[in-house]
Amino acid sequence: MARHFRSYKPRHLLFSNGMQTLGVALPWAIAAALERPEQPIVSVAGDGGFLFSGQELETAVRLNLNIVQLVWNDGYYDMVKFQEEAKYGRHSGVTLGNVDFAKYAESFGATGMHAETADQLKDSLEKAFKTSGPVVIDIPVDYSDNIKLVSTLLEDVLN
Amino acid sequence: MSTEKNGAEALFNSMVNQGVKYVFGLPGAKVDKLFDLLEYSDNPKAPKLIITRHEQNAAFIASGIGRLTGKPGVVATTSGPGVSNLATGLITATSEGDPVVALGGQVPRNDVARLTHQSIPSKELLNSATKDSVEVQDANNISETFANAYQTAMAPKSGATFISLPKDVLDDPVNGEEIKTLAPIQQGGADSDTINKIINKIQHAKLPVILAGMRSSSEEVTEAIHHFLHKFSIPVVETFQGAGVISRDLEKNYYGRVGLFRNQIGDAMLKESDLVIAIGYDPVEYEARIWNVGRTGEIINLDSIAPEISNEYQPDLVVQADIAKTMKDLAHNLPADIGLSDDLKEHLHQMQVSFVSQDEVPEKTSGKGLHPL
Repeated sequence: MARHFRSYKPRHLLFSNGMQTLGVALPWAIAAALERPEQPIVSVAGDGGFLFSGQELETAVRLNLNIVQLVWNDGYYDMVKFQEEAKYGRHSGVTLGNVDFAKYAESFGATGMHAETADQLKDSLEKAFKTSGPVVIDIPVDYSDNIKLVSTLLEDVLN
Repeated sequence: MSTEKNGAEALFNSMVNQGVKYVFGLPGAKVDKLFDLLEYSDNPKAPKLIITRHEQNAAFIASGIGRLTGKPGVVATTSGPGVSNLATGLITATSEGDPVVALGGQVPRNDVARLTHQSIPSKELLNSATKDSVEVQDANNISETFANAYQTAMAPKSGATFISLPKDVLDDPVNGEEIKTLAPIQQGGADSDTINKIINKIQHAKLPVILAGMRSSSEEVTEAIHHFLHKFSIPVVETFQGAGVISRDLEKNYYGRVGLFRNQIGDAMLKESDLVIAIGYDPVEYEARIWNVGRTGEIINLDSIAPEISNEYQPDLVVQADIAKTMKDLAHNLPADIGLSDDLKEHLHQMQVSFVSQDEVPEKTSGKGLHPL
């Protein structure tokens, strides 16, 4: 998202960068939905980060906020995992249990969806933007290319 | 107008006077008087009370309001764990430049130093997580304390402030009026000597590049940067918090974002540049010890605050001024015929092509899930 997703207006693509604090996505989406009710709001979190503040789905449902929450689900804290693997060739302390985020969302009274392919994700997003209230889309993600984030793309600027 | 009011009412009126739209948080016995006022007020200008499921998340939502609007988001909690749960939210806001005013309930003054229910040293605890952390000792100080916390949170570098409110202070009678709506703090642009120095450096540089950081992402500064680029088309590299500074019509000037790992086109651009114009850049976004190592070019630091100096970040020209006004003056004073050489334009075009090709989605996947691209 930070490197590839284009954004043409300032303060429309938000990151926790300085602290990289887990759990900001849904709360910031709630802030955005309150401040910009006429605009579609998309929040993106990993499965690990989402569970730091996922209970605020109750707040989003209570306020009937139109938020589309994507959860990239791979069962790991991958940001930590791929760096451990780059350093030590193995990972430690980064494995999460399997959570069905669509069911999790439904239990709060939000709409839950699964999207297993790019086409399904496109359809789910179309449906989600037409749905009243928060929607959570559980998306299995293949992070095997993440190791490239630390590798060099340009010979002369290798760390 | 009657002056028969207590500290909680003075606080409520102070928030109304500053135009606070929302208060996020969770109540408790030390601070419930304020929540009662927020819940049942018939004042159409009363902040809307929004209860969350955790104080940390209330602080995150308030910081989101701060980042989106530039005005402080407000969070209110009860004493003890209600206050300590704010820590991560407030330190994130302070680190990343998001204005937040946090209101924490506290035990009555005569219990603060005793081991009583939910008694903790709140203002000491949150001192390191905020720009300013105070406890109100007299109900007559509540309104000015709130006004100063609001102003301090918003002033660059924006961040969180914390006010500890002992229960008996919220109950005590208050005389007099609340602080009125604050006048915005006006800051001037750089003076003409400084503008000329900057223009001179830009004119003599082969490849000036803009590094757009967190404090370049206000509407005013973004507009001024666009104005500058229309006069002099040079590459811009965004930090993650500078995302969106470049508009669609200026996309040819965009050379990606930098942060965390030094392997982007933007990193190559910064290294190649003999003059980086860092605009509203904050070291917490991307440390200079990563991107500014092995560079030989100069740096102009243009910001509303003084930069943090490090072994790896020693700008050649430091300008502390209103960024938008300074950028507009620079654009206005640029020579009409300024432009990059044709060779350099062709080189930049090749880098653009290489940059755009990185967005292609790999065809082969493991079948385990969607590729992030």
